[in-house]
Amino acid sequence: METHKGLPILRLPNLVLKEVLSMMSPLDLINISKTSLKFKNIAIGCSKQYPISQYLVDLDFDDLAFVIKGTQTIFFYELTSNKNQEGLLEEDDEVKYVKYSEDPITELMNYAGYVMEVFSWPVRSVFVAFEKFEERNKSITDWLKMHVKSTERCFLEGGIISDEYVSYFLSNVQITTYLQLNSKMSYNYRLNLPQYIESIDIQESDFITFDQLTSFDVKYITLYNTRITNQELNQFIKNWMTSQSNVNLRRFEIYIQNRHSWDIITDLPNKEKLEEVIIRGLLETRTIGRFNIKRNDGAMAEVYMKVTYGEKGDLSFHVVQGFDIKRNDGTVATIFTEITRNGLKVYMLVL
Amino acid sequence: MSVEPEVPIVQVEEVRENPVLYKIISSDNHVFTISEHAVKLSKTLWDLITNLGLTAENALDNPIPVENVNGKNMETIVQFCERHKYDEEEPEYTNYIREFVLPEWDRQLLSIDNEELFQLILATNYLDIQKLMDYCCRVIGDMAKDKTPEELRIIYGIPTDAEDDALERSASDSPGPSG
Repeated sequence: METHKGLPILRLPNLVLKEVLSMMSPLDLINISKTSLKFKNIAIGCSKQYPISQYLVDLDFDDLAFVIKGTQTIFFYELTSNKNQEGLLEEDDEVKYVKYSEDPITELMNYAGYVMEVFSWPVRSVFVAFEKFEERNKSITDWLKMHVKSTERCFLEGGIISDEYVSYFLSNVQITTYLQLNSKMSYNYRLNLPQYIESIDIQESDFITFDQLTSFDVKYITLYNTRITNQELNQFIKNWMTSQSNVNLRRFEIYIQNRHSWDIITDLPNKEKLEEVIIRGLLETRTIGRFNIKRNDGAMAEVYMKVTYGEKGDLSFHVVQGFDIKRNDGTVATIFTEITRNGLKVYMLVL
Repeated sequence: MSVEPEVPIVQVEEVRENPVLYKIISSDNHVFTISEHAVKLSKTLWDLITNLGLTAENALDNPIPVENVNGKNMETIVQFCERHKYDEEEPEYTNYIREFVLPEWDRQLLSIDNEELFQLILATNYLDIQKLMDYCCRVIGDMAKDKTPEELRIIYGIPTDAEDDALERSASDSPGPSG
């Protein structure tokens, strides 16, 4: 029976069909899986095999987007409540399909639920903005609990006090590697970190006490807007040196007030001043040692060093203020400062 | 019947180098000449040539019959292989998602109707020409771009669930070979 004209894709040999599907963009692949139950089952079969199994997804409940990564091009299925925004947008390395919906959150959940059921692509990152859809925060978390086994990274935003939402989220959604907490929290909020997390980055960390900080058994800690005092930071480092806390720490980053703070924080025994250090394990591009100079004719110039480094990369550079400290088991850490746009930042890198 | 391919299939450099040429006969008895470098792109043909023991001396006297590929498809395939015979060998792509843009020449070559494209991809599969297979799959895959599931069903001739059910019922209702 030949009721359709067109390219009879289901009559292709299996290996050829699989190759055709692997050439499609993931958004098109999802659409073709919806053509029939038979095709949905084919898509389920292909999703377990290379290369289709290589995709990763981000669930963005901030911008309401389902994001698919795995190639140089990033694919977005974005929901909007503005009908005028509907359509396909293609830029250099991005393909974005914007879909109108009267209930974009439910639509995003339906779409993401379908895709994860059929393709089983792992969720790499989850983004939630607690102030944006406040009445839906609990239902979003409940949905994530039901549909997302775990996420590698999680970004929690919120211009509102988010104690209740953060606690509920963290007790229901499993995060395996990285938590970035950008929401406002009460001064006395007690953060219970997910069990296996490796890295935390807290933007509004004025609720983090010294006791909490020393209890974080993670590899990477970054704190902005801290209430930790200089004396406490000094004690934090001393505790590390005597293996009393944070023994698994690989990197600690915190903003401090000024150079006077630095003197208090680094009042430590047996420190070894450095002119040059080898930095390992930083994952980003950073600007180091930014300062302005003035020529005799008044012209200004900005001087800085921009460096890129990854886990395997080493980097040598001149450190204005820095030294090595040693833990009682022989482990060495380098402590140094970086002048950033946000102020003076202290790094402690365990070598 | 013999049909000469429309494009010059032997490039000047190769003539100067005194190339080895092979003859291929399609299922509908069209005869094609193809250079050694080009025919190597087809794993099936090259295996056949090796197994038959064809050499520079006897190659043109022993045309290779290819019963699964008609003249029209063979013409496209010969053009493609001659065009790409000096391409650098590509690494094995199995473990990651490929992104490549189809060259314009190849897009033109493959701008054919769906039935022809379908037959060409079957021929390509039979002759085991990886690059042409990639390009055909890219063309077929690109047809899905920005289409709804309903549109895709038409483009790719995908039956609805109801049609699939009806097909299944009629298959189970029809008497088997033994009656």
